[in-house]
Amino acid sequence: MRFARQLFIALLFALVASCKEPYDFATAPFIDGIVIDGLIDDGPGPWFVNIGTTVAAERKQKPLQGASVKITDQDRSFEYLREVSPGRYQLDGFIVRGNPGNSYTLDVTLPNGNHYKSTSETMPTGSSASDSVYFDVSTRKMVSSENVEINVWYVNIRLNTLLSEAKDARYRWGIDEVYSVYPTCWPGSISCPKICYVYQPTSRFNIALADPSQLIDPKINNLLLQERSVDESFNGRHYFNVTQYVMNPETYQYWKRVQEIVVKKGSIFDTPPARIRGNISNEDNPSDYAFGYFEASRTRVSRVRVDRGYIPIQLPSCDYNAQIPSNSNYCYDCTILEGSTLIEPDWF
Amino acid sequence: MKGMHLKGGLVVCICLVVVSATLRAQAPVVYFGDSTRYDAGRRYIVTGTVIQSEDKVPLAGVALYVDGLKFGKNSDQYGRYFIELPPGNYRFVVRYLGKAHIVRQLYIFANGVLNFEMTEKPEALEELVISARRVDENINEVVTGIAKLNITEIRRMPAFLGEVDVLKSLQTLPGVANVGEGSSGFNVRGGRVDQNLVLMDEGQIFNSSHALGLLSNFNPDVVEDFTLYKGNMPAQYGGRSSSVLTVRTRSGDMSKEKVKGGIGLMSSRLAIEGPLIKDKLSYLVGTRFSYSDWLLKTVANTDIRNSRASFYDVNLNVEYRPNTTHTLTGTFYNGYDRFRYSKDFGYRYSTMLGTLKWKVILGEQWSASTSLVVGDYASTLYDLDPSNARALNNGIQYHQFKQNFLFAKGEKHAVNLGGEAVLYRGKPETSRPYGDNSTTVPVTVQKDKGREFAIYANEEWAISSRFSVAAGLRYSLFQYVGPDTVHTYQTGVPKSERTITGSEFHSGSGAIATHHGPEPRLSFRLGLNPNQSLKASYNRLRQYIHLISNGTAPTPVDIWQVSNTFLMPQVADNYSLGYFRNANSNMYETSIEAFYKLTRNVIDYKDFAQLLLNRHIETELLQGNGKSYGIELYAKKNTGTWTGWVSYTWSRAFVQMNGAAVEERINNGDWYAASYDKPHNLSFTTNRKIGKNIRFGLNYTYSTGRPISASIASYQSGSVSVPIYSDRNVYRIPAYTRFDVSLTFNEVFKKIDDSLTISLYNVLGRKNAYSIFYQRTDTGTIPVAYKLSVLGSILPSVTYNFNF
Repeated sequence: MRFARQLFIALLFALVASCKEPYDFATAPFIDGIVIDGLIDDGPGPWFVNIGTTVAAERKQKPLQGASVKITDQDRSFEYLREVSPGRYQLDGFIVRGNPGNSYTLDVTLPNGNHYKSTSETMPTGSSASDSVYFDVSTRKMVSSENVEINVWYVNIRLNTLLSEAKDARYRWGIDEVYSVYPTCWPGSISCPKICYVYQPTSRFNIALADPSQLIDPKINNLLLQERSVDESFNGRHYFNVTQYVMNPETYQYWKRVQEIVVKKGSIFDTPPARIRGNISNEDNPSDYAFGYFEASRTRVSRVRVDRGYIPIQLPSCDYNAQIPSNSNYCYDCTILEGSTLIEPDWF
Repeated sequence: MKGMHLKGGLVVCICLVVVSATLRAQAPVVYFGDSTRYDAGRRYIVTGTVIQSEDKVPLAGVALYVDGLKFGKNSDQYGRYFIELPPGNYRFVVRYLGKAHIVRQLYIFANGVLNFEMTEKPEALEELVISARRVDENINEVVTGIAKLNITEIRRMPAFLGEVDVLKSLQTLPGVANVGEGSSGFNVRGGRVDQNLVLMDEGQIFNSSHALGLLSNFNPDVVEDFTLYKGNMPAQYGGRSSSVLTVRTRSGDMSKEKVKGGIGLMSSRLAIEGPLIKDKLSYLVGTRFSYSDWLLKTVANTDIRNSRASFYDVNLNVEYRPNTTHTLTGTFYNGYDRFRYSKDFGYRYSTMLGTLKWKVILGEQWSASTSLVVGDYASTLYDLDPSNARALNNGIQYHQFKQNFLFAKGEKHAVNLGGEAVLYRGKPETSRPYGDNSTTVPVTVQKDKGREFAIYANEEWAISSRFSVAAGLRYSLFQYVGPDTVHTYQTGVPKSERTITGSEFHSGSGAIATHHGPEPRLSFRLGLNPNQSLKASYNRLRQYIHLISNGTAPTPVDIWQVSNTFLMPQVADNYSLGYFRNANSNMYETSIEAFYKLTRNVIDYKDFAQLLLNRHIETELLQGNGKSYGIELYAKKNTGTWTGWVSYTWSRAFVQMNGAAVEERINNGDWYAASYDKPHNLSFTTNRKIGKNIRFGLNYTYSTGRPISASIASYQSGSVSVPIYSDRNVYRIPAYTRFDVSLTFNEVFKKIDDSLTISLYNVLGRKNAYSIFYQRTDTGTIPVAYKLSVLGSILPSVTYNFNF
């Protein structure tokens, strides 16, 4: 019986456990596809549009400089955006500002003369949903690459919300995180290095969407937004910013498709992936379209702070230790971390 | 030493000659007529019936041939045969797999009737014959592209999870492929899964798979034999545009009780049969069931511990034979599967099939069969996302009536004519909240109904010993019927929810839309000599029911949709040409066949098609052209120490969606590879008997990976990295390779007819790709490629089989 059980477990692992592995799948890169992506919301601004060209499957787009970019509202008032960094164009809001019920159109003229224009996007008027963001800490058993069972700890960011019943309102929640890094302070030094604040898009957050017309109850409870594995970033204050977007139905359809191709499991129930066509196309050749979307949505940010005390395990830190000095470079210069700044956010 | 070998060999040779001479001398002699009074210029007919001696059941497909002439015939579905011969003295051999062969010395000087009763053959003789077919049937049969296997034959192949399997064995034959482990169904000559008509005892099976395609739903203890028509479908079959697979189940023994079954690590099976009224009424009950849940609960991995998987099926056959001319058969099948993966998703599906068939012999030349079938297929997909948890149900029901007449005049003419009617009723597609925390809205979407009618006539005519023809015509008519609401759309623009201009309700059960057309079937055979023949065929097939499936591969929860106002029937023109050659007195069988198929109204889907709970599904479907072509090579060794076959297929399958609007085109309207296009398929199957009680089996399979769309770039949208995919199906997943071996030990316990099978599936432990998909890593935001393998290593199995 013992043999039978062992045999079966081996069989079962063969069937289920050892199924998924990273794979070096060579494809010919798709180069110089145009990417235009931007958002105007009902916040104080400024607002940004990013323009670039595609490079390869596992890299972000290359910034495209020197484009002429303007946003026009329903009153035909328009304002040009200025390029504040390569490929990043800023709307200051001197003439055009984001207001619910208003419509906006994005015009982009590339240095090569190609002209792309978005469809007119109307910002919904429906009120925002009432969000309540919280977290819990959990552990899961995993099998490591050395085939050893280990416990992995996670901070789970969850949401309770009450949706508005406005007919044109659809919802999306995005999430990013900001944490502080305390670099090593050497004994006897005149002053300790400054604290860094690291802005980081979260890696595998769920693209959470809601369409009230598909729900019997406008209340959603316990919606998992992010399952973040615990690491040394939890040594200091760690904030998760949850942005609620109130979108029009067309924008919702775009994000629904993004969700469909980004959250794949490889199972037989996955739909075949395809290119997503956004709302920006070449005026002279409608079959030529830009990747990305120009969105006019209402936004609201909620935050949750995870302090070190909630983490039940020991984490490596930059604290001075004469016996075991830290071998992490960022402990000596935390500004080398991507997304790092020495300016403390006003809400931190 | 060398001399001793020679001497030993000489002794063996002498013994064989003596035994052979003794056998020849012992063949019973049968006289028809008077050798002194006969017409030398005339051919005389020998006819009769072949039955099993144990239960008196007629045996179809028995090979009867004249030794030395390499000439013979097969018994028909009623066990009858006709052979025409010039007057003379012949050695007549009757063979059927699993039965002891019969030899008679015939002196034919007049017409005569000779019946045969075949008894079960001792195991030691099995290696003499590996096919139930007449040994040269591949040369003499007029129809191209037929694949026949007997259940005894496939028992010798390496088993998966300890069980031989109809579909797995079919996939070793040329022209038959599968999208990958874990998918349902099979593809024939570049056709879609739904283009195969799968019949079990005349009843249509809509999903022929258990356990996500790892096993088929045909119980090997119940199946008698099966035939796959992949090149030319006789006119008595229709409704699908690629192939027909007919699976015959056995009737119970008319004379004594029998029990057979098998006990395995994950599943077991049991079949009981016997007479209810001796020689008149028999029953057969067979079941298979899995019991893996308790073992799943012992696994440490949380996801696996929370998973569940099981299936069962039941066959019940009852046959009543009041006399030699009437046979009434009732069969019932119920199969059920359920699977849940952790807390992510689950599904279950079931097939119910009931058949009543009455066969009657109307005279020497006419016979008839009448069948009534009721079928039901139901599936449920569980989305277990806590806030959105729901159960999605769909399915299809049908009622079918078929009347067939068979006219057989001598050995030259065999005519099938008749008609059939099928009523399809799509079950409402429903979504209901699952669990207390679900907030989803319950939804019900009515599905379409349709009636299919067909009349047909098909003749196989042996014009001469060298030239024969099979010609048939089927005329089919399909009606999409009410009550139902039909939308109307703006003309000149793609159909979408926004372009609906109105809707019309059709009350009553009258026809809303009608499709019909002729389906000619034609085959030729030209015998070049007794060992070689050329064959060619053409047929047109019309398909009125379609599997709507936009997954990576067909799944058990896909929707069956009948043709309607917008969805046109698929119409296929199939051409094939074959050269067949046997050698060494039919020890070796070889063939090369080429095929070409053009299909109109093939279905594909718009990008991101939403097929579930869609009240206007026509807005998501595209119809266009399909074409497939290929060459199949096949070589088989029928006798000797080693037996087996090797098959290689090179084929391509393409689709073109070139609608008027950009949204109705795929890949700019160019031809692109179908998702089941796998150019190279190689299969090698062999087995060998080792000593008296051990049999070794080996199977090797190679195929090109199937096409996929792959990520070729990424861009940033908001804070999300979004992959950009290539045109549809321009890349391929890695090729598939697999070795399997098995050892079967017979007579494990003395005085019991039993065996123990140990098999290793995927001996090389190769992680064959089922799919390539893109997912974000734990640390990165840009999706990277992953390979998913359904089977990741060697799969051992041990099964004990018994037969009382």
